[in-house]
Amino acid sequence: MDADTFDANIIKDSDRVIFQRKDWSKDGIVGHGKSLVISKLKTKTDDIVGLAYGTLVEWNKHAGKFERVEEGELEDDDFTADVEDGETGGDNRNLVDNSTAQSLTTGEITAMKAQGVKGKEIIDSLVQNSLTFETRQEYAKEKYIQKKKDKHVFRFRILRPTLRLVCEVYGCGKPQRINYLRLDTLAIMLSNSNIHAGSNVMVVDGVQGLLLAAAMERMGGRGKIVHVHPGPQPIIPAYEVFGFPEEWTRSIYHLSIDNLEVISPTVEILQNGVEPLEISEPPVKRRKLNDAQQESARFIKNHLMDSLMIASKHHPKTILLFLLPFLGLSRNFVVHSSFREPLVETFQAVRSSGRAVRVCLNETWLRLYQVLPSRTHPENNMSGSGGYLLSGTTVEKDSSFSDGASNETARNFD
Amino acid sequence: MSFFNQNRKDTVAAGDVIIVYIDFTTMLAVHVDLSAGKTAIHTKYGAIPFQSIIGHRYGTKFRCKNGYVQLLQPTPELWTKTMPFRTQILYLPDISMILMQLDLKPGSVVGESGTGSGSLSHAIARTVAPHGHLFTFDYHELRVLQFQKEINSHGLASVVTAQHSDVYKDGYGTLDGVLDAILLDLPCPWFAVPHAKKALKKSGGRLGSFSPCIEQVQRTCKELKAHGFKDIVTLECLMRPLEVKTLTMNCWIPTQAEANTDERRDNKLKTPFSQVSFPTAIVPWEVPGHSGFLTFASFYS
Repeated sequence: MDADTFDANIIKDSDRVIFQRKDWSKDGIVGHGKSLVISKLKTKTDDIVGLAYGTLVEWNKHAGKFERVEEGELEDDDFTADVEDGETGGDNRNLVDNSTAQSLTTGEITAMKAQGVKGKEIIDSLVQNSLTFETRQEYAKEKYIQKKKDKHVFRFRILRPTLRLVCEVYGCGKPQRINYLRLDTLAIMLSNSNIHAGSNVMVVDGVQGLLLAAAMERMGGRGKIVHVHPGPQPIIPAYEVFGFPEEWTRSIYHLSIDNLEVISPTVEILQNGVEPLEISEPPVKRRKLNDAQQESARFIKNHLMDSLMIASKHHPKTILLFLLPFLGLSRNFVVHSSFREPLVETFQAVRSSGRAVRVCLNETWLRLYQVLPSRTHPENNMSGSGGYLLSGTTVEKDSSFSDGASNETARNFD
Repeated sequence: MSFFNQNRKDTVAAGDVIIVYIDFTTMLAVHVDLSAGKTAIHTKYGAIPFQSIIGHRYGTKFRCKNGYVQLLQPTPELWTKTMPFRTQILYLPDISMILMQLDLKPGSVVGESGTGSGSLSHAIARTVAPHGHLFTFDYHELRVLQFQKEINSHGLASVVTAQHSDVYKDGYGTLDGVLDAILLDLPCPWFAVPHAKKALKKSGGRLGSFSPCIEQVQRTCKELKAHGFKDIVTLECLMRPLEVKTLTMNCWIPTQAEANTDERRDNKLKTPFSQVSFPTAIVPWEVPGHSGFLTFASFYS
């Protein structure tokens, strides 16, 4: 994809898109011959091409294709009941849970679907054939419809990937792959590191390329990103979801964490096929690297970074202390961990190093709300932790903070 | 001087806005304006004459009479912490969430009402620059004038337009179908919803609203629904500060566990305690518990 069409509003062949349902989303490639398994259904995505981003589609099993659905027809947030306080219609005094209330059988529903009956009509039949529906509270009626909809209607909104949506995709299905880095936590990392277009940014990314993608989205291809990755090759599925223009991707320098030490001033990078000079004072270590890694290492050696973000499975202490000198002065760094203890240790080490001020450790907290007339309350389940963040601003190394010395005060706790 | 890395110089120049870091709890934002009447910064470590800091390197110590301070480059986050208060301001977790939820990136065209103290405006400007734009509106004329001065001295003039306007009544002026995102920080956001819908791009956009009270949220959500906004989400986000300390506890050692209790008695070692130290992160007794509710929604064509 090139930069000119990156923001286009019409879905094209081979676009990476987000399939969004209420509380659930997935990414996938759409286009000719591209199939996608969603909720155990194998779907063909040919008919999504040419639609506008934001369109609602429903999988029609009979026709074997996605069909466009009009806005307003049986929508997820189409809660119509707007009752005065206390007047909630019926109640559950006559409700007996004996599984006889619904006269439509599973077989009949399956047959309807096979004939290509639309989701809305299936729900209408279910409501008509429910003996108890009319006796329910208005709220309970909505809940009933919502539950049936989740089960029988395969309806998605097709959206262009954004950082928010990709975080949702990982958050609802595979948070462990991104070290439980929550949306709000990533948002705070981006603010605290002051990443913006035209910067030199370094990310240590053990979260599938999500951090790299976050930096890229906020820089729009302007500036350079050094991507320190675990393993010999960068594996960045979260980055690939975005379909960033090729020319933006060229502004990334990948460097394996295994080779990280080569950026140290005491290491000389050997050019392939060139014999090293015999004499060097002081003696330096020499390392051989492939071309791409060499280029990355050279870039870091020759440029000071403006921002540093770390979210990795490695213990952050040694990595952060090693990388701090590669940041310019009065620049910002932020480190995420889903565990508190490594960051406590890192906090103390950074404070002792005398290389940073405004060193802070924070935990993030996020709570979602159901907002409905007379029924507003926090959601019943919430995220337990979005992880911990260590952040700070670089300053010239303060020699009075010799290693080990620290101005923390030990406190008796008895 | 600039809030943008690309335009930054390594040393302080006349006209710069700088952040004077004094200690963990004290920072000052200072406009090093040699033409104005002010000629020095006054800190608890002594006065810092403007002339003496011109050419001083950012991020290095500046010695005062009774100690030293650090001179830092400004960022929207530092500005939020040091800015002159004109209204209640938005803080880091909410600002960060707004940038993320409104899908802001370089090139985004954003509407903000009201401007307030301009805390969020700085963060938006940083994120949408260089080719995006922020149109910010406030019905309080003095605030707008003050913020317009800041836009100029902070080098944001090419990215931000601040206007004195009543969004409830006049909406977003001539902005019709041009905005990617809108943020409402108003006492009655529901009055602005129809205007916001008109100002958003016809191909769709994002809307956010910040309100301290749940009653405001309920009215806003109802209005958003009535105007066809989808994916309406309300949330609260906070940051819990942790205080890192190395603590020491007395640890009771049971005498039975001692290998040689006779020796212990003979030597009159009466206290069966040893001391154990451990690094830990303490949650303060009192932490921020509520700033406001954030509501976000999408508008699709």
